[in-house]
Amino acid sequence: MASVKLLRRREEIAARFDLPAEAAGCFKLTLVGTGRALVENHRGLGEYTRERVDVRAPAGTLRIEGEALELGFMDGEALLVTGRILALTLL
Amino acid sequence: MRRGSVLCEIRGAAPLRCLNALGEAGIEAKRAERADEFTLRLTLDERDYSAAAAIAARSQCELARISSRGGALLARRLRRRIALLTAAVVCFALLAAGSLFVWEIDISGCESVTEGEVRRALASAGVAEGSFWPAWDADAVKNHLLLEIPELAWAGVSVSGSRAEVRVRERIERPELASDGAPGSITAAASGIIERMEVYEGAPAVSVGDAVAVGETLVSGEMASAVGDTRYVRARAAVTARTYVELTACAPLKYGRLLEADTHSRWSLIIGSGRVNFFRGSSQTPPGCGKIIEEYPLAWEGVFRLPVTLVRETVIEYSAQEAEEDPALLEQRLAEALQSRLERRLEGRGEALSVHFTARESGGALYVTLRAECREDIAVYTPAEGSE
Repeated sequence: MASVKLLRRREEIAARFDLPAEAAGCFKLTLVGTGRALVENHRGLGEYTRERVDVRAPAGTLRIEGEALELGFMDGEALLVTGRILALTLL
Repeated sequence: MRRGSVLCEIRGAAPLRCLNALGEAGIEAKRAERADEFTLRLTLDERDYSAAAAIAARSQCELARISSRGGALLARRLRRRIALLTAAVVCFALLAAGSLFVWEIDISGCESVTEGEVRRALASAGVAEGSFWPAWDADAVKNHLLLEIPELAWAGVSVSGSRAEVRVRERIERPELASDGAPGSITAAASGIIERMEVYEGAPAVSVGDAVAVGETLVSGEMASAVGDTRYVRARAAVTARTYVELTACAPLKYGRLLEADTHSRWSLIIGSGRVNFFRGSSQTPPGCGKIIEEYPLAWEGVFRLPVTLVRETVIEYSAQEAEEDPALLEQRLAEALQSRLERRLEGRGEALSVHFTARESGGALYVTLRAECREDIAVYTPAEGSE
């Protein structure tokens, strides 16, 4: 796994050459309303309950808090969290 | 066919670690939910199940199958049920073979020619229920139909599954054109007193105020000339007269009413052109009974039709009972019928100025008479004898 420093360097390079950030290995979060959150380029799950899902990302952990949270699908590239999303925190 | 899917559980100390490992291995997990702290329930593709079980074992977890569903499972189950599979194949083969034969012939476009005539002509061309339609020659069938039934101008045959559709168009007879030059007179279509005359051609035989009888010549086509021979022309005129119409209608005051006494159903099966009755006795309707026939063909509308039809005949026995009409209602009905007869008679030709009804009972019947004073065009062209 690339270190945080290396990732920041990659982000800078991607920004300078006007490349999409996910091409540089950054995670991408797509929030659809308050019911679905799609996380791409994740590094797996840290915690998973119906109230909280911790998604490990290259730059840290993305905490999704809400009610009746559920993992819609998950593979090596992306995961989809459904339910009532109340808060998103980058730890 | 839909891919099979497996609902399974990851059980162990760290089921999330196993889930992450599945993700890293490119195995897609769907609808994952926590059952408890040590159990995670999820859905996997059937094809990924064994690889997922191996990954779970490496993550010190256990992957347990709860249930399976989808096409793969169905195929596996069917493999064990040879009879069912064979029956399905046989049914499919029968359907495929059955669709090569015609079991229903629909005929449309008949007006003066009856469907029976068309059906008989089709049968003589080899187009009948149960015939093998790929052997038909559509052009030959069309030609045969047109030759057999001269009243037809066009015929078309199309086949959809086991249903043949035959469309026909009948010849339109050329209308007889009235010769403009044919000599003739204008006569009275009804008796009356002439109110107005407009003579365009011919010699007037009557004048305004005259009373004329039906069939009387109003304008003659014979034109006498003082200097030459008599000329014969086609008379033309519009003649409005005041006419008096009397129409009578009658209806019995007592009538026999049929009451439903008993109803029973009987079933039969038609296979091809044969019929199997599931009841005793004749299939003819007994006297004093009515019959309702309902047919349930073994068919999928618009897709296929097999030569098997279940028939339900509902036989209704009636008993006759004498009933009496309400004279007032009957009088009203007869008056309405007379009024509409008068309207039909005057349609486009005139109007009713006054209408009166009278009613009387005689011999168990009610007679209603309409007397109307009308104004109508009574001119009607009558060709001269020997001019046609």
